[in-house]
Amino acid sequence: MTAFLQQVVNGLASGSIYALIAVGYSMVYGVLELINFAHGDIFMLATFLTLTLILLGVPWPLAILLGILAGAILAMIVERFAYRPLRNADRIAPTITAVGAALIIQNVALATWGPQTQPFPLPFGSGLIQLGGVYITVLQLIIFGMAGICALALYLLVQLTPWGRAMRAIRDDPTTAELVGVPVNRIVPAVYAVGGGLGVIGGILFAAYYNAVYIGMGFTGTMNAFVAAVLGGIGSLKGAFIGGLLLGVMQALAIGYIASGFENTVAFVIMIVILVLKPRGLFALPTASRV
Amino acid sequence: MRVRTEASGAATAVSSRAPATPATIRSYARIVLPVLLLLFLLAAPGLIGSYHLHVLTLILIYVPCALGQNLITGNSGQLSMGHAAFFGLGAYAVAILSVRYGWPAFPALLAAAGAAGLVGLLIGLPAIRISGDYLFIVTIGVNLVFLDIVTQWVPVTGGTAGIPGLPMPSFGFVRVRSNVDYFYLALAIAALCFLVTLAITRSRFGKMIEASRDDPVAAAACGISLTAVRVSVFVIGAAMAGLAGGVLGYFIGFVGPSDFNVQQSLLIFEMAILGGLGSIWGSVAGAAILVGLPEILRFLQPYRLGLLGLIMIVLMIYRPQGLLGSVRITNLIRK
Repeated sequence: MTAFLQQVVNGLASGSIYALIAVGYSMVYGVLELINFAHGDIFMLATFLTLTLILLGVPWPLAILLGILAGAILAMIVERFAYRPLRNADRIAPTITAVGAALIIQNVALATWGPQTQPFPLPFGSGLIQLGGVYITVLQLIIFGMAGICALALYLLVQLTPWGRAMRAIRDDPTTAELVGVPVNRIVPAVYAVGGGLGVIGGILFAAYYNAVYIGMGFTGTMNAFVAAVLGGIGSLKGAFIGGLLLGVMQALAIGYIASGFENTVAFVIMIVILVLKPRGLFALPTASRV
Repeated sequence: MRVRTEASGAATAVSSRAPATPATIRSYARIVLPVLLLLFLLAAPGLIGSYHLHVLTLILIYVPCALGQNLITGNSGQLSMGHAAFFGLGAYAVAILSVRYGWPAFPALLAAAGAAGLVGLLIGLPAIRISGDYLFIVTIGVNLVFLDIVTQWVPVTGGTAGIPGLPMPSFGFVRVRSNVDYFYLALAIAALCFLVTLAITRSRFGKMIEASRDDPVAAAACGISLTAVRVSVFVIGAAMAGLAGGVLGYFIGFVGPSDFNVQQSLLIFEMAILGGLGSIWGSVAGAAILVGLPEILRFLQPYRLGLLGLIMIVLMIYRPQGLLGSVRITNLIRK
C-alpha cells in the first residue's frame, strides 16, 4: 500500500507538470482548434535560455521570469509567422506549419546548446518529508503548489477579466466575435503568449524535477500534453488539468508495476482507447457544438 | 547513350505532323521523360561516381516509402505520420530473420512487407474511427510505441545497440556483391512499387479510394465499403514501406532504432506533401529532393531540421498542393 501511494505521489508530481503544459496547449486548441505542435519546443528553448541565464549568474527568480517572458514572445512570433497566414485555412495546414515551426526551433536550440543533456541546478527542493511511510520531496511540494497557483490564476483570468471574456467569445464563435468588435488579432497572440508562458513554467519544473534540460524534452512535453488534453477533452482547461494528473499517475503506476521504458506506450494506448471509445474526452466542453 | 536518346526524343517531337501545341508537347513529354529517366537509371552505375551512386540508391530506397505514404495520405486522405514505424519494422524483420535464422533474401523481404502490412492492418482499423489531425498524433504515437518496443525488447532487437552484421542478400543464383548490385536491387524494388501504385491508382479500386476521400457519404451510398478501402490502403502503404525498410537493412548492413524515429516519419510525410499529394511522380520527386538535396548540399547539414521545417511552412502558405500534386492537403479535412 505504501509503495502504491508512493507511486501515486510521484505520478501526481509529474502529472502536475503535464497538467501545466497541457493547459497552455489546450487553451490554444480551444480558441483556434489548432494542434500547437511547437508548444513543447517553445518551452524547451525558453528553459535552455533560463538555464544559460542562471549559469551566467543572473539571480534565479529573475532568470525564470525572463525565461517565461521569452517563451511568451516566442509563442507570439510563431503565431504571427506560422499560424496567422493560415487562420482561415483548414486546420490541417496550420498543424503542419506548427510541425515546421517546431523543427526550426529545435534546430536553433541544437545549434546553440548542442545535443547534450544538461543538469538543471536549483538551489532548493532537495529536502524530504515523510508522511506515513510515503516520501515527498520539497521539490514535489513546490510543483504541486505551482500547478495549483497557475491553475487558479488562469481560471480567474479566463472567467473574470475582459480579456478572458474576449477569449471565450473567440472560442465560441470567431466570426461573430470579430463582427462585434473583439480585437481578434490582439487576443489570439495573447492566448499564445499566456499558453507559452504557462508551458515555460511547466518546462522549468520538468527540468528541475528530472534535473535535465535536453532538446527532446519539448517533443516529449508536446506529446504528453496532447495525450493529457485528449484524455480530459481537448479544449477544456479543467479537462486538460485533470487529464495531466491522471496521465502522470497512470504512467507512474505502469512504471512501478509493469516495467519502465514504456511510458510512451502507456500514454498512447490510453489515448487510442479514449479516442476510439470516448472521442470527446472525459470532461468534454458543453459548448463544443462546432460545425 | 543518354545524350543520344535525348536527341532522338527531341527529333520525334519536332518532326511529328501535329502542330506543336503545349498539349502535344506535354503528351510526348509524358512518355519520353520517364523513358529517359529509366535509361539514365539503368546506365547510372557507369555514368556517376560511387558516392553519387550511394545517394541515388538511398533515394530509390525511400521511393516506396514515399509512394506508400502518398497512397495513404494523398489518395486516401488519411493523415498518417508514423511511416518510419513500418519502414523500421521491415528493416528489423529482415535483420532478425537473416542474422538470427539465416533466411535468404527473398522470403525475408516478403516477410518484411508482410509484417509491416499486418501492423498496417492493426493500425488501419482504429484509424477508421480517428479522423484528421487526431490520426496525425496517434500515428506519431505508433512510431513512439515502435521505438519503445525495439529499444526495450533487447533479446530480439538488440535494444539501442541494434542488430549489426546483416549478410549481403542473395536471391537463388543472383547474389548481391557490390554497391552496383545494391543499386539495381533498390531500383527493382522502387520500380515494382511504382508500377503497383500506378496500377492501383488507374484501376477501379483507385477510383474507389479517391471517391471515399472526396465524398465519403456519396461513396458509401454507391456501395463502397469505406472501412475496406481505407484499411487496404493502409496495408498496401505499410507493406511498401516494410519492403523498402528490408532493402535499407541489407544496404546499410545494420539495423538500429535511431534510423526509425519520428524525424524519419516527418521526412517521409514531407516527401509526399512536397512532391504533391496524390501524384506518383510527386512521391518520386519528394524522395529525390529530400534525400538527395541534403547529401549534395553538405554544408547545409547542420540546418537540415530547420530547412525541413521551413519547407513545411512555405509549402502550406504558398503551395499546399505540393510541387506536382493536384490535391490540396487543406481539403482533406472538413471544417
